[in-house]
Order: sequence, then structure tokens, then C-alpha cells
Amino acid sequence: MTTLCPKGCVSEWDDWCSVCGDRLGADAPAGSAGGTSASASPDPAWVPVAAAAPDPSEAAAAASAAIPDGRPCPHCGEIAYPDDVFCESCGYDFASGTLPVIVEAASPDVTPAADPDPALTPAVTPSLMVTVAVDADFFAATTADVELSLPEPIPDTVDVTLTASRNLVGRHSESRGILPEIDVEAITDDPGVSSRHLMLERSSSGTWTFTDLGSTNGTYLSAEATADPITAGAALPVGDGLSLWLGAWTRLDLSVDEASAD
Amino acid sequence: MADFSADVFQNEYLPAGGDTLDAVITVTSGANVSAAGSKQLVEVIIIDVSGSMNEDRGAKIQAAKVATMAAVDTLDDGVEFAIIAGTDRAHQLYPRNGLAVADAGTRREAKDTIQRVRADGGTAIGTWLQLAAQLHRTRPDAISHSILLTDGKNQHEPHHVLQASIDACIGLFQCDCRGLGTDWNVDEMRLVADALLGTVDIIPRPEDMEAEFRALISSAMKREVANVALRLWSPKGAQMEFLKQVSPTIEDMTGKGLPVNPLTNDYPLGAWSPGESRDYHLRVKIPAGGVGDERLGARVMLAINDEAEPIALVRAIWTDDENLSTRINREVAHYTGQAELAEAIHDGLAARAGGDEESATMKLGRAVQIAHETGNVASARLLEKVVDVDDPEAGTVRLKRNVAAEDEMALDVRSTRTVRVGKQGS
Repeated sequence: MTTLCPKGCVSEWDDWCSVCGDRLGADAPAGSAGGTSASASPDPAWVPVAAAAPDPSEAAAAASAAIPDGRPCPHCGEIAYPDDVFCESCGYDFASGTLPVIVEAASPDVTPAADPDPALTPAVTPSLMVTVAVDADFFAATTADVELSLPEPIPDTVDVTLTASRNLVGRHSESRGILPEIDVEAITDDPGVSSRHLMLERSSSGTWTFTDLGSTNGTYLSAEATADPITAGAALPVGDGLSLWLGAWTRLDLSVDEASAD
Repeated sequence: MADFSADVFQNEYLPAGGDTLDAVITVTSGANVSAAGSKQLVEVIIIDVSGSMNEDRGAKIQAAKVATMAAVDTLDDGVEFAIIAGTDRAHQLYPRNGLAVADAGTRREAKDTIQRVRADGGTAIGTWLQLAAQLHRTRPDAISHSILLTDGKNQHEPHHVLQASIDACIGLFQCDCRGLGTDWNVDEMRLVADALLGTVDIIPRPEDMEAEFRALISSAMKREVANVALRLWSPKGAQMEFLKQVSPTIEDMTGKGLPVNPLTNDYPLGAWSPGESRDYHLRVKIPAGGVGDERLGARVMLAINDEAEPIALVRAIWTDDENLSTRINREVAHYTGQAELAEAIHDGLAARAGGDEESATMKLGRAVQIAHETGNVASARLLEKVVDVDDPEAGTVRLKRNVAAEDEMALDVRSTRTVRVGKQGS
């Protein structure tokens, strides 16, 4: 069982992050009132504390509750699919109730360096490096019983650098007009990836997040067969060295490149 | 899983930008500690029978024989044991090879053999340890203990051979080292004892040896769980400044960590008896957080044979309240003082030996002051044999002109013994 910490590390524990040590949820024990000693025994009576720490599962619950069920988009009136997170027509975010920020949606071929006035660009715009690979172990552990087989030869790993603030990961669909920034099927030939599978977004403060868009087969934080998929619609932070598994045999290795922050 | 518990003493409040956490962790074993693993004790007694043991008209070798026979008598039935006689090479005295199982017959045979020993030859401690390691290696799951007695320096082998022999013994057995008289080398014995999780002490007079050996065997037989380790997790980016055992004695464990994973290390603690309690002082540097942040600085686990259970948490909370962040925890302050005391004694004696009377007076004066403040009566008494104390509160002392070698060695070797908070006399 793994938990995602507010910084985006994959934690083995649910009280404190097993990577960065940050507090997770309210399961951590309270310190003594005097602040001078704390005691723990093999079976401690955990005392919940009213923690201010953000809890990803709360955000996830709020988000999934906000997904409309075959009703029209409140912004443009387009009928939404039952498990849609964004309006397919106008990009309205059902979870947060906001429209995509058009100003930032510069075409990908305009590099930040070409910006005539550097003062107008956000202070921090780290790019996101994504390595798209075929993970045979993941396939063997999870999907091998389905009538599918790995492509032969195994396609090469592809590195993609994302500089735009919103990037769709999925499968290209001419008929529905879906053109993902990372077209997984074209790289790994994976039929288990949804057309609109995952959104990789950079906030105005420069933080990268990933959101499963209610994909059919889910997105996983572990290649193990016992892992649970992440909650659809919840924007989760991208931590250092994060890997995501999706579809039948695709692994994404994500790393934020702070060096490009200029 | 065995029955261990822990108390953590720390000030978890750090100022903005603060990154250093200090904590004293008291680990206590419960009554049912033996539930995990074997209780079989293997005892290998190593006795120096070099030529120098004939000094004092044979009093030393005679006392060593009496003490070793007493040790054999103290062994419970069923304990596996062996006796090694050490000179410039190691010679297995009893049984001829392998280990004997203690009963009335083997105890009598062992004592007969000890009676016939004659002292002759040099001192090569590394070879003795190698033979002991060979015997202990045959019982990897047992509680493996040795006593090493010497009266002299390691003269008949190069230092690197001793060091390599010690390294080869690490993790195989624990070794308590005893020096008879004043011709042995404290640093050499400390090297052995530190690496092999044992104690060092001086036996000034041959007639004290019997009681000491009985006590060592009795305490070894109380041990019920072997191969205990303190397993410490710290967050990514953290740095272990130090980990010391601070009670009952000060032992630096910082370099002894064995990696379990990139964020976790095991620090071997040796064997434990039920109801034992030891204190550890941990200082760890962690990535600083912002005011209001909370972070785990260390998760303390107890591992036995790779089974681990968490026993304590060391936490950090960043605050802008200086009343909280500037507080110094009482236990941490106390053991910081005990560590300074040990260091002041060591440095003071070294300065004295080097003829630097001014530094020696200053350091030993500071030691007297701390011993007085913290109620370390044992250290205070030992110090009084080396210096004349004018004012213990101010740390004003004068070096004594004539100091017995055994008093100086006793102070050196026992300087690492600490007292606990709340037990100070006045």
C-alpha cells in the first residue's frame, strides 16, 4: 500500500512520508504539550491532531463529487460523458469550476526565450521531462491474462520535454478531435490507454501536477498487481523520480527540470 | 517480535531555517524479550599466558588461573564454552577443539587443564581473536560472548594485523576486555571493545580478578536476545551528525551503520538481557521547513534478525515562537555534558602526559566542574586521585605531583561511564 504525500513522493507509510518526512493526514501522533518529550511504544495510542496538512484524498473526494453525470457543461452546454473531468468542447474543469487559462496556451513551437519581454513570463517555469517506456514486468504482473501481447520488437523508449502548461497524455483520435501532447499509442503501441487518459499541468507557481481524467484502465503509482489506481480527477503533485503506470504496458518516468526555469 | 519500548526526549520545535534535531532515546527491553530467537550462550574465554604473567613471583598467572576456574564454575549447565591461552600465537586450552557443553564433568576437566598452564612467550592479540572468531562462527545464532584478559601491549604482531583481526570478528561475537595491572594499552583494548560491542576496564590487582570474571559471566548469562539493532530512518536529504550510546557508557556508533535502504541504517546493539535500559543521543540534520511545517526527522525501529518494529518518532515542528525553539531539552543537555566530561578527561590526561600542565589543569578542572554539576560521583572520585580540587563549582584544581599509574588508567578507561538524569547526588 502506498500513499502520495503533498510533495508528490510515493510513501510506504500513511502517517509520515517515507521519503521526505512530511506529515500525511491526521494519523501522526501528537507531541506532548510541553514540547520537551514525546513517548512512543510498540502500540502507541495515536492521538489525531487537527492538522493543516493538505490531504490528497479529500481533494480527490471533492473532485469526483463534482463530475457531472451526462449533464450539459455549465459553461458551453455540451453534453459531458458520465466520467468526464473536463468538458471535451471548451475545456471547462468540472472539478474546480474553472476554464483553462487561454493566455498561457502559447503554441508549443514558441520557446520562452523568444518572449520579447522576459518580465512578463512567470518567474518559475520548470519543464517536465517525461520518459515513455514499455514496461514488460508491469504487463506480466497485471494484464498478461488478457488476450494481448507485447509489440515485437519492443519499441524504443522516448523522452519528451514538456514546456507548455497543459499537456494531455492519451491516444490520438481523429474522429473525436483529440490530439494529445503525448500520444502514448504512437510510442508504445499500447491499446489500454484512453484517448484522454492523463493531464500533466504546471501551475502559475511552477508546480507540476498530474490528473487522471477518468481513464478506463486507470493510472497506477506502482507496477504491482495489487496496487490501486489513483483517484480520477484529483490533481496530484509530481515528486522527484515519480513513475506512473498506465494502459497495458506503458510506464512514464517524470522529472521536473528546474534548470530550465528562465 | 521481542518486547522493546522507547521514550524520546527532545525539543521538537525549531526556529525558521533551523535544521538540526537532537534527541535522547531511551530503549528498554521488557521481561519477555527472549521471545525472539535462541537463548544459547557461547562463551569463549581468552587468557593472556605470555611470559610477563610470571611477574610478581607468579601472582598474576596464579590469579588468572583462579579467575578462569571461577568463571568456568559460574557457567550454567548447557552453556557451550572454550578456553584460549594466548601468547605470540593462540592455543586452544579446552576442549582440544570445538566447543564443550558445560556440565559437572566438562567443568572439572576444564579446571584441571587450566591448573597445568604455564606462562611463557609473547603477546599477539590478533591471533587470539582469530581463533575465538573461528569458534564463534560455528554457532551463528547463539548469544556469542568472549572475555579477553591481557596484562601487556600487543608487541608481537604489527598493528594492522590486530586491526584486520578485529574487523574479521565484527558481528560474530561481543568481547569484554580486561587489562591486568598497568602495562597494557588502554587505546588498544578500547579498539577491540568498541568494535566488538564490549566494555574495557582495568583490574589493578590480581586478587580482584576472580570477582570480576564471575560478574562478567553472570551478566553474559542474563542476555537472552542476540543481534539486536537500532534501525534508523531519516528523510531524503537528511544527514546523520552522530549517534552515540550515552548510557550506561558513551560509545560512538556513528560510523557503524549498515545500510538497509538509501534512507535507513541498522546500528548493531549486540545482545540484551530482560529489563535492560540504554540511552542513545541522536543528532540529525534535516532539510529545513517553513514556519508551521511539521516533519519526521527520524523513525526509530528495533530490528532483530531482520524483523523490525517501530518504537519511536523524532519530529520537527518549525515555529516563530522563540520561547519554544530556544528551549533545550533536559536529557539532551545532560548527555551533552556527560560527553564533554569524557572528552575533558581524555584531553586533560593526554595534555598531562605530554607535559602541557596548563591545558591539563584547565581540562581536568572543567571535568571536575561537570562531574560535580551532573552528580557523576564515580568520575569525581577518580578525578580526585589525579588532581587536588580547590573549588569543584568553579572547576579550580591543581595537578597532583605523584599519581599512581593505575589511578590514571582507571580514570582514562572509566571516563566514558555516565550517570542518568535525575539520579544525581548533591
